[in-house]
Amino acid sequence: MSYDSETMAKIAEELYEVHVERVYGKTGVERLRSVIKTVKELYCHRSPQSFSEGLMVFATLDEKGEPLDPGGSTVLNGVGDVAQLMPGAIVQVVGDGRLRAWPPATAESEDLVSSAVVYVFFAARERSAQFEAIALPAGLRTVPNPNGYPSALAPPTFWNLEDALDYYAANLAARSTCERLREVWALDADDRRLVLRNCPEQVMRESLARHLRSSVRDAKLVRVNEEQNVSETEPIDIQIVWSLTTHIALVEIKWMGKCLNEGGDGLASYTHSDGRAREGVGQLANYIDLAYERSPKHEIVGYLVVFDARRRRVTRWEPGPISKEDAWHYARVEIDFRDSIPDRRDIQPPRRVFLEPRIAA
Amino acid sequence: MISPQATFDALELTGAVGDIGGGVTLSELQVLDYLACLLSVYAGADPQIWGFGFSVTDTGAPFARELAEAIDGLLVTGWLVRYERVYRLTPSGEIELGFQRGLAPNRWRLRYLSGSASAAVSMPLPALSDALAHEPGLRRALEYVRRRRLLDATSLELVSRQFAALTEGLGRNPADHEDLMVPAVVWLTYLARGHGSSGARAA
Repeated sequence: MSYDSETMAKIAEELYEVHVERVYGKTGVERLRSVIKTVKELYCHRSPQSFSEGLMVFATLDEKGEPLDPGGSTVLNGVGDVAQLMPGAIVQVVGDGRLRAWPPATAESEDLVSSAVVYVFFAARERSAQFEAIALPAGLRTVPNPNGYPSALAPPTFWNLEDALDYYAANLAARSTCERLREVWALDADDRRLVLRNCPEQVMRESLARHLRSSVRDAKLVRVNEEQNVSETEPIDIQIVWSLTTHIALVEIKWMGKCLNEGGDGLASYTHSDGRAREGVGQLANYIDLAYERSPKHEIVGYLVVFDARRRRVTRWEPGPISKEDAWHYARVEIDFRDSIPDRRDIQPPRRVFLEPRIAA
Repeated sequence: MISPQATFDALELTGAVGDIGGGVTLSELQVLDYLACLLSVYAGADPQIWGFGFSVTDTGAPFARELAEAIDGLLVTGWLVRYERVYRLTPSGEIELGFQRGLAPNRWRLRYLSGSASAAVSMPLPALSDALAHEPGLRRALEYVRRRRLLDATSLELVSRQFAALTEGLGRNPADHEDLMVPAVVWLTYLARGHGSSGARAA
């Protein structure tokens, strides 16, 4: 087997679609499609979190299958009637756009998997604890949700980069909900998010790029800097190009706070503070100018995103007790850009993404 | 003359994907149709028989002039409607789609269009578009050769190598997948993770 074949085989093992096909064949894939479409449409009408008692959606392999007693069910004429559903529900995709719904305690997914393709959403108070899966006879196959959206099947989509960045800051980064961004923290005994790991910028870049790739419509080729150099020596972090337009966005990422040293056994000797963010403004202006030289007919806009992980009075790794006042001190302290922000229409106001500590405010 | 194949593709893809995300944009339709064409290559077809070809835009997106013209024609007939940036099928468009699905020249395309649309059900449209941007032909056209025409002999050879690996990795021939959702999603995931980039660079 070639390297590529092995890679494809490994990917196949991870994907629930492959397991559905293996277990249920072509009919199973067709039912899976109906189930996912229905779930997506349901989540257009109600957020996943509103199903606080969980949600199960299934389609039987046999179109006329009735694995649950229709007696206790309600027929919905379409997903538009979804408001009728209680905080939890079991929903059968019947066909012709109709749905049949039961209270959540009517059945378990195990009762249905022999005759149906079943999607399950498990609600939890903490978003990181909730998950969704496709139930199979051999057990549950998790629907991967690396971006940390409320549901991987209901990712937000945006037409504007500004909206996508705002969503990222508030919903994925602030509490490190994004799976990738969670890796940015040095492990602390209480997982308090006080100190960053060494070289955190790569994790931040990947986390933001993942979100933009999944959510910005008509945006093509969101590239991270390994692949895109504005000049040989100074790579821009992320470049976004919109299809069938001449719009280009350049995103420069900076971070503030303290990180571990290379050995991971102490704090690095430096701290990134306001000056680091100011440097980012100048770099971004330079990148935009270079990009204009390369693409003079394009409309280029630059964005500076600053991940703010500043904590007051954290002076060593494993800082011991720290007050909530110190942990949260910088939540309301804006970055001092002084006069570094040029009066240019092609540079958006810098965005500060405050990474919250895990200490009750 | 408006391409009948492109007209059917626009109707079918808008019908299949248009109700996800409130509609589908011109560039998303272009991506989905190019993916459908590639899936036909995966299944062993010569891309010449797709009925029209694709080129690459300055921003690295696939584009078929025939598809863009067909969409304009469908707006005139009232079978598609445009809401700001997205297109949706109208009730009369649904009837027309039902009729066109039964036409012999369209029937063989359905498998590939359906595979492409299924991938869009399984993964977000922006993520699908981004993954396909790593397809060897698009990468090569954008970064190295700046050729306008896609699916030339070298690009076909590169993508065919990936499809051979896909067949081996899945342990099943394309003909064994009556529904192409699974190979489409596995291949797009492979591309999204950057595994397919080295071949385009080498060529």
